Amino acid sequence: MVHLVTSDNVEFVVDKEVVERSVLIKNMLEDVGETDQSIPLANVSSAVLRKVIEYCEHHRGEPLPSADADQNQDETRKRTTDISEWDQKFITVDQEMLFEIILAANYLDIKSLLDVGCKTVANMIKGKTPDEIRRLFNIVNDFTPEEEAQIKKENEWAEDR
Amino acid sequence: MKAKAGLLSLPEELLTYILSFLPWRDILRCTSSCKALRHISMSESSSGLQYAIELGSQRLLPVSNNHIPVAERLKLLRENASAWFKFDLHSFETISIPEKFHWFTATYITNGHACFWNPRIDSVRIFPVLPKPSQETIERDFSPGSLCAVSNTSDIDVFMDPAQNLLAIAYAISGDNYPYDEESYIELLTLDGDGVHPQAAGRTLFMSDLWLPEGRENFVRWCSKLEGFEKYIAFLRFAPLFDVIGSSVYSKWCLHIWDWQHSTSSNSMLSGSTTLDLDSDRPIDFCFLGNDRFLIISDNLELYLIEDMSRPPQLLARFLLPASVFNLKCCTPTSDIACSSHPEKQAQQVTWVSDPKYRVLSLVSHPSGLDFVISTTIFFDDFFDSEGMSPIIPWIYWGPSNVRIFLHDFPCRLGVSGSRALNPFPAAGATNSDDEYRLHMMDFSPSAVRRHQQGLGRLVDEPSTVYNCESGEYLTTFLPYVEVVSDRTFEFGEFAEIWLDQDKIYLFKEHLDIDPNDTDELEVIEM
Repeated sequence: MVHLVTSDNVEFVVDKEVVERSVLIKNMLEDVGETDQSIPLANVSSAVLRKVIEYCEHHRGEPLPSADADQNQDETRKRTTDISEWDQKFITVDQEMLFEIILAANYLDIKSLLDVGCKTVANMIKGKTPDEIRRLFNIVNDFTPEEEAQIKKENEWAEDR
Repeated sequence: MKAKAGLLSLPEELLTYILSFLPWRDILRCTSSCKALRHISMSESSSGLQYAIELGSQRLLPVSNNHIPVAERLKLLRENASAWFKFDLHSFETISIPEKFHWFTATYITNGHACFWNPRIDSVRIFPVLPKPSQETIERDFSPGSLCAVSNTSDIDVFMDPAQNLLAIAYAISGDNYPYDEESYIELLTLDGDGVHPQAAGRTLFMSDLWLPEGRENFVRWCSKLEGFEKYIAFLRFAPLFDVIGSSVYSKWCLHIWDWQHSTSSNSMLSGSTTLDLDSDRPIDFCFLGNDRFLIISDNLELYLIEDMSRPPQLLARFLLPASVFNLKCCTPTSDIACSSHPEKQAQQVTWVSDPKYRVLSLVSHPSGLDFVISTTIFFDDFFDSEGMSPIIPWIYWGPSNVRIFLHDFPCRLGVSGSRALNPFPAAGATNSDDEYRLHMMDFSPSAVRRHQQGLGRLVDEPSTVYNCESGEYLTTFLPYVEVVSDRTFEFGEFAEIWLDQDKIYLFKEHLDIDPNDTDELEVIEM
């Protein structure tokens, strides 16, 4: 069992097999060997870690993507935004949690969870106008009217089929 | 209290990663929402995103398994968008063509290779045209009789695809009771050796018999056509239904399509009847469009979808042509899209391919002297009809806005590649059509038209009208394009063929004098 301590000082005791889906923790454990000392995760809150562990529990035992396959995939990877049913349900959370999960998955180095999060955001963006995207993510339009007109002009040829 | 996590609180590399899942239009829209996101799409570390946007806006598709770094590909792609404006016909290299390919030669250039086939003497010569040192090349020379390993055959047509290392030969075997016992086959070989193609389902593709009142097929060879595209091979043949009287004859045509990598037989066939004019070329043509679609070109354009090889292709729509236009031939190579399937056999260092939906087709009508340049976009619409009927689309609804018709007054068909066409026109100010000609390079892609800038070529977006002397009819079309006119002039008939590919122009100069020291020449211009 591995002991993890979150930024808000909550301790989690998790199966080694489950927690090793995080490449960061896996490498740490390999470096320090068997230990009863708890691992501090200063960047992850308990609410987020709970979700991350839920994800890792569900996917325990699945093969981890090798670094090699990752390299090859990079260019030829099908830019698909398909997400499995369970993952989709799992990631149906409010926006703040979604981005926290993405940040945590990135920090803990859990590639498959990072992909689920990023694809979810990509799907939210898909098909929307710049204005709709701003409203969705609370983004302030910081372009001057001149800049905006210029961008609109540049993008015009793209909008036409 | 920590700030709430939001989209913009993600580090740059994660934002780039999220955007990498999106189609290029969505990337553009998203990065137009604020400065921070726009900055990301412009930064040097996101050349992958810029490459996706540039490819999409030029209506091109990426080639997978590409080993060129993405930043380098982006540079090449941006050059591609403007390089053709600077094409220089004055700097060229000349290649002599062996004399035995004089006249009656079926020639074409695909994928950086020339294929010269002389059916009269049954010889084929395949060679790379000015390859770069790193390119993979194939060179073959088939002397008379060596093309087909089966004896007592006569060769009908040859198709080669260097990208797939494929050589397909249509041939016929006839017995004692010729022409009634003639049977034809298609043989699939590797282009660089003599073996059976490793991806082929077998050495020979078998043809179903045509149903004819007099028994066997006995087809008219000179108007048959063999062509391949990715996993498909199609053979079009004609058989007279009655004895030949005069110069025209009622005949049956049959188009047979195989998935050569999966089965040597197929039920994917179409047939019909037509009048065969023995003095002219074949009355029906076909061309592959990509995405399992193809066109049958006759009095109209019939769009078909190949669904599976156990049944005939499905008719999607009929595009009507102006009534007076007939005998159209397709002369558009498919090599710039076909090569996507086997990039490792690429002769050229190809980094992208044309999107089948944004190419142009050129259809040439010799009797009426008209060249049609057609945008393929129209053939990829959904042709959904509540009653399951395939629609008939009158010329006026689809033609003028998707086509540009040119007068064919130079004895050479136009060269086409992707969304570009190269066509000879009488030089401005020339009073006599025999005077001087100049080559116009035209780009019909929507991005070239929309991104057109002053000083870079001429934007042609006004309608043009040509007079069809066969019918006395005026045809007006307005597919927009951007053109650049070369300042080099040519005499009438100075070259016999134009080919065009991603980075070269090839002009085939035929010397018609029977002087044995005079060889044909291929002029190659790098773009």
